[in-house]
Amino acid sequence: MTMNLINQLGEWNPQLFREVKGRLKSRNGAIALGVSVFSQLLLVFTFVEKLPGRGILRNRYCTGGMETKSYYVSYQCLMDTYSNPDINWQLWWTDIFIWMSAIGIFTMLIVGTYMLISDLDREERRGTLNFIRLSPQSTQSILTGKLLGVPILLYVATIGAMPLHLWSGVAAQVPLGMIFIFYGVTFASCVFFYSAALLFGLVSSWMRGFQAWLASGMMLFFMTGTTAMRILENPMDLLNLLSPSTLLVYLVPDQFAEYVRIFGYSAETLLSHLHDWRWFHLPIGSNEVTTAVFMVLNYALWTVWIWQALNRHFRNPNSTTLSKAHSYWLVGGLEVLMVGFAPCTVPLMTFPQA
Amino acid sequence: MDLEVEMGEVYGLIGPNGAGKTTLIRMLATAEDPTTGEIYINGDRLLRDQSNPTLKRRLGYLPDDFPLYDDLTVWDYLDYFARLYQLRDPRRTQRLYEVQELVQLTNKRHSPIATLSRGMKQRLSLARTIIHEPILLLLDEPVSGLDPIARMQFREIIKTLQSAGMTILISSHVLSDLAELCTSVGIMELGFLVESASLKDLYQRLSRQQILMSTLENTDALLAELKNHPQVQGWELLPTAGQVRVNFAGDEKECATLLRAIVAAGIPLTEFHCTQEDLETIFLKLDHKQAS
Repeated sequence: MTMNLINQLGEWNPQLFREVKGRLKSRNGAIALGVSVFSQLLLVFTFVEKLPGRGILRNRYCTGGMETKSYYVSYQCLMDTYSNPDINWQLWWTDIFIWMSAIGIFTMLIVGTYMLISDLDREERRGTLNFIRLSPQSTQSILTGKLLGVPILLYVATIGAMPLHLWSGVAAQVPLGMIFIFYGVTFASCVFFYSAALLFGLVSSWMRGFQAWLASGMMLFFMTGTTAMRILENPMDLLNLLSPSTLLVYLVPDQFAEYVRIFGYSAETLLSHLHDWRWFHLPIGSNEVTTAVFMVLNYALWTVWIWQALNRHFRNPNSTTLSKAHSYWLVGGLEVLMVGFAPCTVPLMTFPQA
Repeated sequence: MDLEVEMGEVYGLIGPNGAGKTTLIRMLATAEDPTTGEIYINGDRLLRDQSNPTLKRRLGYLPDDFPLYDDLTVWDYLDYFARLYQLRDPRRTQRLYEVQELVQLTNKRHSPIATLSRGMKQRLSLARTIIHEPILLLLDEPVSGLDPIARMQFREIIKTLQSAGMTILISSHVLSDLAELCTSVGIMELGFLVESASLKDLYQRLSRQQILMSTLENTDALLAELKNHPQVQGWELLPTAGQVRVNFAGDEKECATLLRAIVAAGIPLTEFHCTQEDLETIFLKLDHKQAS
């Protein structure tokens, strides 16, 4: 049945067929799934270790009065008649949910970017990319096949982690709809960043293998920076709009804020800035749906631009990435988008009277 | 350059390294853009953009380094390219069996490409090049690095493709192979096509007929007899005693007359062997050796 499915895939997209055939061998699939399950077990056991034992007076997962200590909030432990502490399982699952979400986003974007660029570099250096270019398949078909097929083992590992992620979200009482909105935004971010990775891979073949490390390093820097960055109400917010971790704040606002306190601002600051987030007076930060819709639209806009460049550059690597007309439109669009994030109110200035 | 190749021809491209053979073939395969000029295949203008997909579907290009995917099996590799060229089942499966049989890789169809020998990889690359039944086959140094048996196998495959009506443009430094396969040849130098003619015409114009003779006695009597024949244009005494190489301008009949005369003159002839200068000698004689 699997072979039949792969065969059907091949009829639809030969490039995807080639990538799946080359990578998704039973041994590799089992290893990817094994790594995913092992990582999940490691994470769960790490959090099991953090649960309060008998006779513990204060712990993050106790249910008594709050005692703030270091970066984490800890609570006094209330004991039952057998001296077993009462545990706040919702918070425990929330922590697992946040960690899995963050690890998931980082892994998907950083590892996926690396895999795509490294694959293109290998094909370019080996000379096989030319054969694909010469075939009558469209650029979209070939690059979509690459986008879906090259990180196939990463997708397998991610799908393997989804049941625990969903379970932890539900146990943490995160609304199911919110979790699926988060999945949708993460999916859109992957399409955008993977398309960008393909374009970067095509234009940077002169770096001779270094480009994959450079791009994934830049991705790590970007993700760390945007996860730690609050809404600034200036054009820098475009970066927040490109990071799926922005949405994580809505899913578990209090706990997420606790994690980012190390960057020097309180949960209240983080949330109030997010809720006040506007683009040309449009309240894009008022709730998770408006933020998600705006993020997806933003991803879609830039993904379309990237595919314009991919279409042009893939067939003829000697051509410029964009035509002159397209480049004007691109710069214009970027400026409009950034101006929208500029402060809506200009502070009044007072001048000394003569 | 002004290059015309007739339908069904096997056209050999020769020239020193750096003369521009690979660049020309890459341009014909749309892997590279010409800085100036136009290419027409089957009467249609060939451009590197997305125009003319039907024409591009009828081109087969085999570069000299024949890159492959080591992670696929022979069958999966050919299946992938058959799909890229939009072949549908059952024709696809039938074609896969046909090309594997033609390149003698049927028994290796489930083997990973990484385990194949160089000759097998070369044949697999050729199979990939012809899987979609192109009308024009562009082969860049297809036999470089192959052992004599693999080269012979490759030649036989090319002959089969030629008999199937494919037009083949082949560049090679192995001129004996080209002499066996080609109907026409072109010589490139400094990026220019300095010679382009049918092989027959080239031999007629540039290849001298030679006769190798050996006698048991001193060569003086033989040379005296040779002077009586106007078709003998000159001779060269070879290091082996009693051996002479004669440049002869006559036809087969005049050659027989010469032999008869030498025997009648009582010269103890032990060898009389007519030869023609080969393609390699012609190429070297033309002295087109400059790279661009």
